[in-house]
Amino acid sequence: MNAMTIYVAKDFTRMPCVRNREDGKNSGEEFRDEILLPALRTNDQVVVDLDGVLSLGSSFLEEAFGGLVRKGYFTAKELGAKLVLKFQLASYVEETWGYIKIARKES
Amino acid sequence: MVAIRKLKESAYDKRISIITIDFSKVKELHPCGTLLFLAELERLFESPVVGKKLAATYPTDSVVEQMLQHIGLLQRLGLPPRIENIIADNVVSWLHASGTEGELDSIADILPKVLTEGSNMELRIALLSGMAEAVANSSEHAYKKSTGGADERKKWWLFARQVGDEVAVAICDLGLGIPGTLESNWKEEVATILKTRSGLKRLDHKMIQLAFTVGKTSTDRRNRGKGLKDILKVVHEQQVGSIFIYSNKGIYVMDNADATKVSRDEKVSINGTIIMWKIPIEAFGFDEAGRK
Repeated sequence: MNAMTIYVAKDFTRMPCVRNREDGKNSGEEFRDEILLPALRTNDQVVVDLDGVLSLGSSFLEEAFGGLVRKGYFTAKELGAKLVLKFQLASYVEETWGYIKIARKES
Repeated sequence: MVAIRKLKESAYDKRISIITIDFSKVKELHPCGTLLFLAELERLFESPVVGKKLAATYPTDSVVEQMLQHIGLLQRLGLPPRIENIIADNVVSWLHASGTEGELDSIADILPKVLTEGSNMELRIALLSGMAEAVANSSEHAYKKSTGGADERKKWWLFARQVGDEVAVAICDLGLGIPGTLESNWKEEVATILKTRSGLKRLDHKMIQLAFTVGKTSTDRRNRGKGLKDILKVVHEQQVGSIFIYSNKGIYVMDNADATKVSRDEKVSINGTIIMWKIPIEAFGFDEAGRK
């Protein structure tokens, strides 16, 4: 089984902020498409380590993670089997899984 | 607001060639008012014609002059800095930043220490996530989707300071305002709520309150408009400090210390949004050595 860890604060940004690329740099969409999705496609397990970030807004989290399901890249069940979220504050991990679980594939 | 309105009217009046802003009688600056004034002025400076019209007189109050010099406003108005060393405690402690879109990375290293190193991680993440969402909101929803020059308009202005017993963070955008973005993003939901809740009028402060709840029960467009709950996290979930939200005509204030809640409309719109948090420094778990 191959696995990898993405360190968001080191590899992407300490202040995740906006949702879409058109809203600014370091968006949830950019993180999802450029970093997370390639990692998920080439690894059996991906750990996203959020420790070290200074902010975790809903717009970023929903687009980066819920967007994986909405855009049809993975189902919530598939993500449950291969994605691990790591952060010191469990409530943000739960919130993120909430976005994944309620997301519906866009028609 | 009267001064800002007069300034804007005069700026676009072709019969007026020079506008002199007289700071000589200004004795005190409120962070939210200063932020709004700065934002409006910067907006006027974006117009090459209007920008050239603007001039000013130096303040007579030393602290006011230090603050206006500190945030670069006097220089923008053509007045060279006169104060060699800005020393007033209530001036140097203010961090001033502005940016377009979601460029928050640039301020991560200059934020007050308590916001990046305080031991109460839940509180500092809640505050900075609220701040990030206010910026995200100004980029995602706050400005009209227009063609040409739209990017220039997606701008935010921020003040932050850690001094004495308190941390204050204020952020401003000159977009549609929370009531405006609520109606454009949740048109049907807002119409339904207004229809079903008798007595709920389309007043801006009511729309601000509605913005914190709309979307929670919606079965579609679940990905939209979740950020406003982040803005309330500090006062709702962490139950510390106070939040002041000014959006268009609406005002919403919540203060945990004395359980105050203010929700009302003013007569004049600020044509944008200002959100300010004030939090006791001790809540961040910062020790004495870390205080300024």
